[in-house]
Amino acid sequence: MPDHLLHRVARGEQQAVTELLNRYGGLVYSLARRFCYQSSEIEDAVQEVFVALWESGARFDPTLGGEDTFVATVARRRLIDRRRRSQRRAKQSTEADVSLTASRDPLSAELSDEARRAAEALALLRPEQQRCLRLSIYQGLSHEEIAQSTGIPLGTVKTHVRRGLIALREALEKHPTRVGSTKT
Amino acid sequence: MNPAPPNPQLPDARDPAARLAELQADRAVQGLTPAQDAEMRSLLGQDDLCDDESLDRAAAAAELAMSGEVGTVEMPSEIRQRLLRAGEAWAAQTRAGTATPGFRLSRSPLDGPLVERKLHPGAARQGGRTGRLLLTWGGWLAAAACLTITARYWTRTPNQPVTTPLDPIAKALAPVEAFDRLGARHDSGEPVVALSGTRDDGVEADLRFDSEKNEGYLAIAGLDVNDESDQQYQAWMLDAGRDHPVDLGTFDVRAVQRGAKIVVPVNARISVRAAAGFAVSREPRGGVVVPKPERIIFRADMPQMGPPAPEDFSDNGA
Repeated sequence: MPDHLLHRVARGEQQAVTELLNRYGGLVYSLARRFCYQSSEIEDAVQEVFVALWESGARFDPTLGGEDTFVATVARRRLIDRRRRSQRRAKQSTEADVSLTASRDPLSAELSDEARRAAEALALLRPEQQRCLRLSIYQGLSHEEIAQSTGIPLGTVKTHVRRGLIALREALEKHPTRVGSTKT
Repeated sequence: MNPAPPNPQLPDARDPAARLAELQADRAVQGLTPAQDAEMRSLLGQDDLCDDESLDRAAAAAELAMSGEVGTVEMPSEIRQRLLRAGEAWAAQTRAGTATPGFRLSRSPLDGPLVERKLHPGAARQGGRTGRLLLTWGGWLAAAACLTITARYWTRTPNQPVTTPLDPIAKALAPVEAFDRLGARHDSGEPVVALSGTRDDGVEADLRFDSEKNEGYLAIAGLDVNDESDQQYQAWMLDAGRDHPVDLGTFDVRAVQRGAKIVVPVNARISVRAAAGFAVSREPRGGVVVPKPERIIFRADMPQMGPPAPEDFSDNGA
């Protein structure tokens, strides 16, 4: 039975704590930059995420998903909650941000299996669903903001996002061919 | 007990499972309002409904996929170092069985912004750590995030306009982050010059300069606003391998930047042979080729190199 990094962190292994930071520091920092309205908040947000990871590492269940997905889930949950608490809109990604070819974290140069399957599932969604998911997940826009910026009715935006997530979930579970692009 | 599969059709207000799925989807992308959170808790209290976070994981996987398209940004070294120290403390408490939920770092959001230690007045030494930023961390970043970058990348005499494009990644990054990245590279042993200095009246400056690309960033605080109609500040690299300082470009300090630390890109028109320090002068608009000593308003030298002789600043008529 492999000894997962997050479980080793949960036991207080110093080397594991360092390895977690080395492996996911870039990802968490990049997420915080996108979610935080003020640059002054970024470090606090990063700290909050890593404390949450240290404290919740024991909850990681490899049968439910990969380590990087767990890290991203915890990070997103904390950053979304933080954004709501601050009652500010997240810093909007600019085209420059999205197109930035910053150096990747050298320890994760390739997409994990889950991320790759998610990317494949995204590509199979209808264009409007993809667009809504990208605006929602990557750019952090609310449903209302997506509706305003795209002209898509609010109810349709909500449906696109929900069904897109369900399609992604199906791709990550047992039936990767059952991508929901034909559902209406 | 396995959760009942959420109904993928349009949510039906009479169908708790469908409503739960709707709330789970909302949580995964934008969080829940207090009312929605209460509603979810109420739904989860019903038989055969439970929260499985599967849509949160789906959103996270999509996040990873999208982040993979553009790459991630390296964490600044000083943030990493502080996290490492905090992680050491947490790990020690955990091993000892004394860790409590809600571990607070020594500098929590509730403790206010971090105040970095000041250099001795008038001292100048090679900045081995980007942590030697001389304003409160949060305040500096906040100020920098609001700034208009006004530096120009080229020396300008009427017949010698020269531009050297900055590294495209550095150009795309906010100057603050680019400054941090250079500092991190310096800390990693790459050929990046890192210098810091303080003037007796409190003007503070840090230079991070890529010796191979001949470009970098100057962070400086405390300068007076210049009269843009006829004045500009000009940055210089003191070069022990040359007779005169190397022009790093001009910049302005505007009223909106008063009191804040500004970060400006700098670019050397000619290669720096042996960085011995840096300086800032106040010049006629457009800058000069060689600064006069009396126009130097800030200077930081590398102690081991020794300062260039005063005559190096003399105007030889060029």
